[in-house]
Amino acid sequence: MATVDEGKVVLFGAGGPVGASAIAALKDHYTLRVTDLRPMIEVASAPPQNPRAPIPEVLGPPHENRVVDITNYAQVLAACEGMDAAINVSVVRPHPVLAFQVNMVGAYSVAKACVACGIKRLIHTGPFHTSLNHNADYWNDFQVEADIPLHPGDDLYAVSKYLGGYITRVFAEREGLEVLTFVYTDFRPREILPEEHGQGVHPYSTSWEDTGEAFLYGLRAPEMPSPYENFFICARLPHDKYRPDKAKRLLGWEAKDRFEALYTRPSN
Amino acid sequence: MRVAVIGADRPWGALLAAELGAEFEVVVFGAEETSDLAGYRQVDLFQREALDPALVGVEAIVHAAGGDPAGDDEGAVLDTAARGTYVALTAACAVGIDKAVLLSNLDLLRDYPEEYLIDPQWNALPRAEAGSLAPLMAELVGREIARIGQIEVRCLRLGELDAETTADDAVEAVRQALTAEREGHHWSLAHVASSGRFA
Repeated sequence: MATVDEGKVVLFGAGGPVGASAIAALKDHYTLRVTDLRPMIEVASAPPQNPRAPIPEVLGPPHENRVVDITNYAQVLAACEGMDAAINVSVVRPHPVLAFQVNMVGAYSVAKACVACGIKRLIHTGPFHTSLNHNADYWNDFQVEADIPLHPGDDLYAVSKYLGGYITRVFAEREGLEVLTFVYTDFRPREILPEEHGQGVHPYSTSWEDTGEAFLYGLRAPEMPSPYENFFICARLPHDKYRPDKAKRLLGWEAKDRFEALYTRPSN
Repeated sequence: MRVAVIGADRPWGALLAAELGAEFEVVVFGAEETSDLAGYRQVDLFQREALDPALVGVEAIVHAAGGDPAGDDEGAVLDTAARGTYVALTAACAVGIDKAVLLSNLDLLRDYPEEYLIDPQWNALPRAEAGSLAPLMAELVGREIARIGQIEVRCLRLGELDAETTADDAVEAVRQALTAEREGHHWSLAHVASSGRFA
């Protein structure tokens, strides 16, 4: 059984806002080993990725903070030792070398280390690029579900993350590791400011708060129908363009934030 | 047709660089410093700044560096296959080349039961090992870049040189891939086996 109701969880790439959301949601339920390329104390003192993005809290004992270069297998393996589950939220977007190193080789290292350490559940993460400017990117489709194959085209970020995700799938299907992949497009804060009312919302949107909570559901979900499952982690919006129904069905998770104030006409 | 063989320091690349000259004007690139091949040039195959100018005037590429990357370092093997293919194909698109032949490996299907009649419509079945995943990484990059419609990528899965796939059959398959009319799909897969279970 891959369900992880309690115990120790290692986070890779936790210095970004998705990591910050995960830390906030998981810290009271699990003992976390929080890792990033930079010391977490340095991450926490740096400006946020954007003005309203969360910054990770630096946790004290019993949690642990550790510097881990995800491209270094020995470091990744050591970080996985003694853990019950792993979450990989690492990412590099525009760099022509590091994108492949972190997004693909890093994913390989994490999956391999999970298998080596007997970890049964890995939550992998990545982007769902809704518009890549080619005809197979699903931009003109509706009712798109989480099990569609991604079509990253030639986009460096999209293709390198796609390869990393594919590698975790192979580990899942070959090595008995259960991999849940969460994909995202547009994040925003839960709080809607008065000036935002009626400004519209991206059809694939998730609040930072819901983003974090999904990890809790992912760890606690029962065994999956197949060893690799992909999930849209987003709000069910009336656009009916992207459907996160699978996350509700298999994880029991659905977004609390539906952003009605953004897509309804403001009353005067 | 002016054809660039990229990865001519790999076994299949070296063979094709030597043999395709009978029909094509061949330019030859590899990562190694030297080679016995006529006209061989060392090019950093990970750098668009190096590859783009080298491909000017080329009409098609044969990418031989992704299907069997050398080395024991797992990260480097994956990186060579994926990033090397990404750089080669994006460079080709950037200079206006609209045809590529991507060499891959029949080992991707080796783990199906022996009695199955395998063709390219069967899903790849790599192992959770870098060396096994590498050719699939190259293929996925090729398929995805082809999807945007700027370049036709014909992927040929080969067996072991002069065992499962003869040199003559490989050269003929590449020749046909280079000269074939463009089809509706910009990505295609073919198996090149002279003997054995995939023939």
